[in-house]
Amino acid sequence: MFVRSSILFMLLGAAALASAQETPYFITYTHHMEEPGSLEVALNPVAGVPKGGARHFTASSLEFEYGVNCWWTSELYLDAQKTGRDSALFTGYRFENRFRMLMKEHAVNPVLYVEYEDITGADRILKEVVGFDTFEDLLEPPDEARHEKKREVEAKLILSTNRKGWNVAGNLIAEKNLNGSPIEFGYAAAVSRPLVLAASPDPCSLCPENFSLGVELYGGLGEWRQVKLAGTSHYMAPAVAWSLPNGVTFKFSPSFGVNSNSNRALVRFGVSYEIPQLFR
Amino acid sequence: MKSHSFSGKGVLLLALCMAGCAITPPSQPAPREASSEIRAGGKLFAQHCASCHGVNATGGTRAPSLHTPAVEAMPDKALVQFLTDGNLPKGMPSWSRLTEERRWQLVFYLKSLKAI
Repeated sequence: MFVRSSILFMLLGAAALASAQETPYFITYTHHMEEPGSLEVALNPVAGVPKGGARHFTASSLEFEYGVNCWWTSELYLDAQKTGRDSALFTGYRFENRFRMLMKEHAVNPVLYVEYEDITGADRILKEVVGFDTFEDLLEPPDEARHEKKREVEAKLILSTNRKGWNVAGNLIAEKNLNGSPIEFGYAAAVSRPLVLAASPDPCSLCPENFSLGVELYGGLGEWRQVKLAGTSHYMAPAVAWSLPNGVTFKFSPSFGVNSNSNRALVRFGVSYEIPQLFR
Repeated sequence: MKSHSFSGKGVLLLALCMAGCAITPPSQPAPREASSEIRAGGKLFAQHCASCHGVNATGGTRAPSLHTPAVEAMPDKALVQFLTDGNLPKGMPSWSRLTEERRWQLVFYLKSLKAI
């Protein structure tokens, strides 16, 4: 029953919407901004394989990414989740802005990311790991966890470079719960490359130039005055993206927990569609 | 003996030939012609640039025509660099997300346009 409903949940999302992001990342941001005036609509479901007795879950975020101009991208996320046989829950929203700090391409390109999120403790998107997040956070049943409000401000320093077809990106994350908890830190790093660097002369969908492979590594870094890698969770995630010429991109990435604090696996899917020049 | 020797040489020759056939690398793909690079660039243009510069690069309300003497006169390397950097304050995005090979293909296409 859970598997059927999870598949249905994902297929419905996949059928409804689609991004034209060429990197296959789900967690790590690069310095590539949304084109000015374009709106990218994406649905990114994640199926969780937790441990410690927590129930399997499926969560999804619906994303609207808009290029305000060439150096400013704005994004709204709406999150929902379904755990086991419980009913589906809307778990909150996130609003983020990314600002490219240098106006030309450099060896390393910094981008400043600022986000406000208003979510509940039942949120299961796990878009990043911060502080001392572990698999135990998911043990609380969603019906109880949803009463916990999380109003948080998050900042990221995004560093990214392109070299000989490769993209290498690193994100440093600082998150502050406005209820007075200490600042929590996290990281994400990734590398990716298209299968073929040059485009073929003829239109094609299944050709190697449309596929991009990569790997992400992300996890927590503790909190203020306790910055460390221990006591938190870390994941490694191979990732693939398939970008179609019509602006639809499909992505897939299974994240595997690499230490005892991590969940077993978080299997991420993504489908996105870019609508060019929507409000111009 | 002679016949045996001949037969041995024949077998050796045949074996060498077969070995040669087996280890000969597949023929190198012919160097891509300029026209195929231009077509590839045209395809990339349609995917990434046409929404602003128009399907035929003749410009639109959001971006100028690219059939201009300025584009024609610009050195290839400078044009690739311009695509890489964009002109962010003026609304031209950076295309560094495309590989350098694809940016060159775009330049081949842009250079094939005639100034109007």
